[in-house]
Amino acid sequence: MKKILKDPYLWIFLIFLCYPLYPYLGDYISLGTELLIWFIFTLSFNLCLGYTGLPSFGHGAFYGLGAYGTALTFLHLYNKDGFFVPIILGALIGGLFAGGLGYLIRNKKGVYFAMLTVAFTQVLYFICWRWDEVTGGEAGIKGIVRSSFLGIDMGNSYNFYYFVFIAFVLCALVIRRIAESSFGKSLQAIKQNPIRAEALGYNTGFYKFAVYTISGFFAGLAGGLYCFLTQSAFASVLDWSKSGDVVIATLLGGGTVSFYGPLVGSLIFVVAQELLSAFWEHWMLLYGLSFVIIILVLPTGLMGILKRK
Amino acid sequence: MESLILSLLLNGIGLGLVYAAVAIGFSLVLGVSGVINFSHGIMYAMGAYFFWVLQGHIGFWPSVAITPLLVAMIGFVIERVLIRRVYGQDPLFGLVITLGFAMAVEELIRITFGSAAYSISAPSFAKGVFSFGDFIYPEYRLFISVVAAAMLATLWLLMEKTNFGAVVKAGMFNSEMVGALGNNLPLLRTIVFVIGATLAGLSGIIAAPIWSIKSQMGTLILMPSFVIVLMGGLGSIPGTILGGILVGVSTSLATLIIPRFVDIIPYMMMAFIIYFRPRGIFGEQNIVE
Amino acid sequence: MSFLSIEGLTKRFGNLVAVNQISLEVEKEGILSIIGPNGAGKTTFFNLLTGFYRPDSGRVILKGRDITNRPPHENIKEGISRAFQVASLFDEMTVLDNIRIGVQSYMGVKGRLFSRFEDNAEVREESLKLLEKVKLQEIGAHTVKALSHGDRKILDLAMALTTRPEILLLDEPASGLAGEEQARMVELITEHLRKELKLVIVEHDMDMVFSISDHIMVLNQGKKLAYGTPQEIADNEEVQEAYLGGDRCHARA
Repeated sequence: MKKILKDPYLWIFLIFLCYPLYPYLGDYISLGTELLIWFIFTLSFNLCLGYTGLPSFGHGAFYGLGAYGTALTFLHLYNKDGFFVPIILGALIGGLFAGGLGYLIRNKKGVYFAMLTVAFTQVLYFICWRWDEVTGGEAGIKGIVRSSFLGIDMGNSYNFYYFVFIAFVLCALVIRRIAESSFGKSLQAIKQNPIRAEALGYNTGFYKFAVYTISGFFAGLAGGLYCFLTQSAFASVLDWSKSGDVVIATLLGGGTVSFYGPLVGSLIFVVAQELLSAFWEHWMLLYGLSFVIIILVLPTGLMGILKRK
Repeated sequence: MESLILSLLLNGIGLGLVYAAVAIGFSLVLGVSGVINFSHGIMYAMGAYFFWVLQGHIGFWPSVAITPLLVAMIGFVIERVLIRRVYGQDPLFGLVITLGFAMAVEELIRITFGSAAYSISAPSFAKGVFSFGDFIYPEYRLFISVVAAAMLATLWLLMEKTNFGAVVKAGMFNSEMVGALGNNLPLLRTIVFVIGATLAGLSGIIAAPIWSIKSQMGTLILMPSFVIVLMGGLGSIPGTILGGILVGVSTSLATLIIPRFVDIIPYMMMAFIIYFRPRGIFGEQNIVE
Repeated sequence: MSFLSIEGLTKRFGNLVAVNQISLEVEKEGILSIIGPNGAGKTTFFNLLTGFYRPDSGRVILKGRDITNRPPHENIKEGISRAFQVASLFDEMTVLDNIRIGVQSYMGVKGRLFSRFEDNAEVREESLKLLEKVKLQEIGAHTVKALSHGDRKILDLAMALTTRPEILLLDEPASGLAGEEQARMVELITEHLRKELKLVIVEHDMDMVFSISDHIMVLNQGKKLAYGTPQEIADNEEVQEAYLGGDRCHARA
């Protein structure tokens, strides 16, 4: 029992279980929903960055493909009982593309790995942007309807919030389980000393491929949820700015030093972005400068400060 | 039809040489410092904007002389103040810090000049057209090909014929060795960064009259650089030129045949090339692997 | 057929032939030491045997199976393992976790996605046994970063043992060690390891080499200069001229 009380997840789950009840904040229900989606996205990304040391700059693409996969499944294949099938298919598409890319570049290191993730995910972006017949091109896909799930009306934003909340809890538990598993420890070993890991029998290329695929799956799932939140899918979601956002949110919180770092980072990132963009047309200036400041001043993020003390 | 194809081909070569002149700086910085420099494109944009503003006040030639110096100075400052801090760290650090800087400058451009695109007229000495039989081609487009080629040739001489070039090339194989041999690695990295910034700035000046100037121009030129570096091979000048021309010509001709997929074609070629030659056409083993 | 046979192994780096046509038959028992001046190709030779480098020509045959050109992570399953010249550890982990990473690899549970690393009792038990064997049990909970040089070298060797090799390559096990630390390492090698498995050692400390080895191979400029028992090597005039006399002073200096 004591162990459970000390678990950060318990408190995070409780806080977000009550989110719609808070005065003032409760009105921003879609902000809360988006936050939960970001939690899933950054936690999954951090399996790559924080746990395996894979400098991926292409997770925006898997998120975006998840959104497209979900939207297309919903519109053309299956929309009987709401979300479940489209979102899982979206996640699978995210995982599939991440797996394909991960397989191709599994033995590349450092800067070269990062370069290749940028270049290849840019291809996906252009395809989605230009392939009008399927993706709607610049106009994107609209008209995704949140009907009902298990008889609950999902048109209601509060009901949808709780749907996403449950998805978040499940994903968060699974991702943490993976991080704490034998596999997760193997990833950390590969991050800290790939040569020794090879010498101990670890096929480092395979592990990188595997974690990239898993991470892409959850990123796709987050994208699928986002598709239902905004009831649309746009190519701009695949753009590199999204990939940059997930990196900065993860670093800001301290994903490299703590499992919970991405949650802290997403919270600050999403709220700050919401506030900034509402108050100043040229918020991108501050946004860009904040990237610079975070790297210079807070390279291990907020959790890094806590851990140092 | 033939003359159309010929002019598209020439357009493509000119475009490719400009791409190459921008990409080579990106490539050298990546090779010597291990930083994926997302702020490289903004140097190109700054070149164009500084030139545009200065030209109105001090005339054409003085602006051509002063603009590269300004861009070089800015390059020097950001290398010393920002980029230096991330050497040897996680590759994403360099990427994010330069991306942040580029975003901020791009927004600064929007604050100062608005989001509209401006067009600049070609300088008076190259305003005419060049005609050969019934084939007509704007002089200015030939002019930029020549200037870009001259920049690349100068850099090639610097890299191949001087001691400095030899040290830069050694730095791409083993940066520790460069330090151990008594060379000043931090200084070398600064110089390479400034050279890259200057070339990008100059490219911005010569390209401005053809492709109007706009706030996103820095971001737009960056992606071809990625593709060209991966295709041609890191740090290789011949590879960068070949990569640039491949990208330039293929996109130029594609506008005629499959205009919708213009953006994707360079990536397809890149994927094809690095499938068979993972280090690019002229790529050799280097430190970033 | 001998336990390990090496046939014409060659590795070039540009114009430099780092390992040149080395052939050798190695018996299952005893300690084989490889000596030679710096740059003789000793570490390259190790990297070739374990698959970290691919040879330009030649073959490595272990227990009748050709293991040339196989990546290190596959070689390990054939029973060949190595320790490193500069202790190569997982610096952010504890001593016990370093060992566990190796043991879970050997036990084939390293890729389990949903079973907690901490909860695997078998891996834990096996790792604790190994720590006891190398006498590191008291610092099992320490983070590796904080270890002394001597403990790091021992831990590095212990990690090489996690995969239960039949042949173990040690790259300068005593480098940087002195006095009690060196005695600990020598004791571990001669009292425990030599009885259990084949040892191939690269070492600069000549006193140690001549006192513990059963056979010695001398390398010079990538080539095999001589091979024999310590006595034969000590009596070999070619070796004395080319190498031993000079380097003996080096080793002491």
